[in-house]
Amino acid sequence: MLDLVALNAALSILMGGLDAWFWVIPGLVIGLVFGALPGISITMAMALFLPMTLYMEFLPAIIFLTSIFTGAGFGGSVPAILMNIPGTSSAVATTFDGYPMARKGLHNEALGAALGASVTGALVSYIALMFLIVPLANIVIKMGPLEMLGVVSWGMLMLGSLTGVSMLRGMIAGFFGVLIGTVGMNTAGYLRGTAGINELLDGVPKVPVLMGLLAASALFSLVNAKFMIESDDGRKLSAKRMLNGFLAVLDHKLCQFRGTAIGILIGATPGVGSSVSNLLSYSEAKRTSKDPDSFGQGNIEGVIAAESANSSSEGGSMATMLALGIPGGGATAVLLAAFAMHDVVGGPNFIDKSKDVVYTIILSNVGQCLLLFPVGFLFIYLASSLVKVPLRYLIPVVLVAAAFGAYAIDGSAAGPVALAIFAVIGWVLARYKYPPAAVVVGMLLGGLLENEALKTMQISSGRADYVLERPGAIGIFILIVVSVSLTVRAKIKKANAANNA
Amino acid sequence: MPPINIQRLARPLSIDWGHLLTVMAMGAWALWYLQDLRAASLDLENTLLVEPLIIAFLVMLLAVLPQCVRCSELPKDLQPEPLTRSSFLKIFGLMLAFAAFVWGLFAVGFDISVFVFCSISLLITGERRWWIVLLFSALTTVLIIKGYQLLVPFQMPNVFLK
Repeated sequence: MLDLVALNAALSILMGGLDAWFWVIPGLVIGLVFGALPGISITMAMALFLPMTLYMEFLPAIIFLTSIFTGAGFGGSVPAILMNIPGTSSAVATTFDGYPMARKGLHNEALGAALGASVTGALVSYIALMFLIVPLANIVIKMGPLEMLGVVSWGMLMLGSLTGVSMLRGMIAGFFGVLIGTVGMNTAGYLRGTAGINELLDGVPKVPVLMGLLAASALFSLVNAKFMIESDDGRKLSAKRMLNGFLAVLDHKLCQFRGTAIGILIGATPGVGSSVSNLLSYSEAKRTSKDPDSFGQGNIEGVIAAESANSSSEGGSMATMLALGIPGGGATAVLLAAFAMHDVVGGPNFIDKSKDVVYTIILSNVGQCLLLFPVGFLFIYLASSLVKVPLRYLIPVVLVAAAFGAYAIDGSAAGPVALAIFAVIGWVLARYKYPPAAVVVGMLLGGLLENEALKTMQISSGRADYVLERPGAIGIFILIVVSVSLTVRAKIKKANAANNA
Repeated sequence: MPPINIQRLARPLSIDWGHLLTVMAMGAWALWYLQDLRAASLDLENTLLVEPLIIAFLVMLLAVLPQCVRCSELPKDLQPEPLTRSSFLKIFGLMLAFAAFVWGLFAVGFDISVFVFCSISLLITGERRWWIVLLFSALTTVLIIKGYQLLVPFQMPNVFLK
């Protein structure tokens, strides 16, 4: 599993000089800042700095880009916690408990916990990657549409944990989201729900819609508030409380471990990645919690579950990229482009012939994760000053930044227009207790669900017994059934206990 | 068959017009989407997931309708928070200003739009010192536009900050 000779060679390369390490801290800072900016995706941050790497050696170039990747992966959690803005779909679940914690004056703890979960998640995923890169790649290559359908259906269970005060209204919100997610042209080429608007051919623009539903709509509701946190004491910045939040990961080891495992496995699956893993991990954390009702109200476990999964997805996606040469998402596609710029081709041959380089990349990522702690800590300390800014100044700036972020995605009016429309829809839905978060989850998974269902139908020619030929899929569906049964059993037990009391 | 309790059926309605309108709007959109989907094609590859979902969605909306017309009988946590006239006007004003800002980005220019939107939002949220309104809006406009111009490869139509 582990080639010790190659590992020794990798250690010599890394310890041999400071060339490789020189780019880590600038990369992390760039990633943190860009990740925290609404609408600036990890991919965009890496793409902006890709041309610069042309003039570097291969290893420093890759280490610089992976540092941006690592920094931006965590940077997205800062606006998610402080402003309810999930700059990317991987930070959606972070908002569910992170923002309520910030509103309660627990922003120090929430940011610390997010950093702790991210550092630990990414660190464990890279260490696991050193041992599992080849077997993991073998599993990923066997994932067909039916298995993907299973994974996405599992993610859909998340809707059950976001129903809010009314199951019926929660389900309406979730179904509304799924339907919105299916607007546009499906994989079979049928066009529906676009009302002749060309910008909707590829579906509704997801990032502007989720920023509108979650962030802009919440800002409208805060128009009468003076500060995000009403009490003066709550607004205080405290490095000690951030550190306590960071260490809270140790009190929630199981949640952290489960999130990391989900993140590695789902992150390695091309096309799904961290946008599903953070939802799935959150849903499982809530399902298995002794106090599921506190989720969504500011439970630190919710933040740890989401952040551990989205950060460890990074390691998973790197595994697919290095072992198979398949980019799991935009960020790994930029990394592959950097490989190509230096005449290196990722994939099985690369692993066979350049194991020392692969280990060097993985080990440098481990180093980046360790450095993310001090750099990220300083960053969250500075960023959390936002809670001290009066809302009258914060509201216009955040709304304008969200609109610019929506425009930055593809440079068209579609983003800002979708943001404005869904900001109003989000406010109306939240007012009548239809959870906007359920709409977001439904929308993110709706399109994927339809695509995978269609592909499965096409591959199987509609045969129901096709499922028997896919043991992996059977395993995933059994896990779903067990997961749902355990939840139902726990709910019945709880209801019986309440009746007896 | 148990007798129908006429008195219970005849109790006065308490209609939450906002909620009713929201449910009706979602229902109207879903019906239109269903019609558009079926007009595109009745092929299973088109209707596989979406048609059953729309039907289930419409059934759930029908189930929630009684809650719109009997809102006073709902548990407290299902009722919308009370909204004073001035709060509603502030929120509505901010929504209108935001919509106008998005329109203005492309019709007037990014810089003017940001400046006007910041000024209006500051006034809506209670800032009355005119020099702060002007200074803050101008600073926000310059910093955000120049910052995003550095990062984003797309053109931003501007009047002053070209």
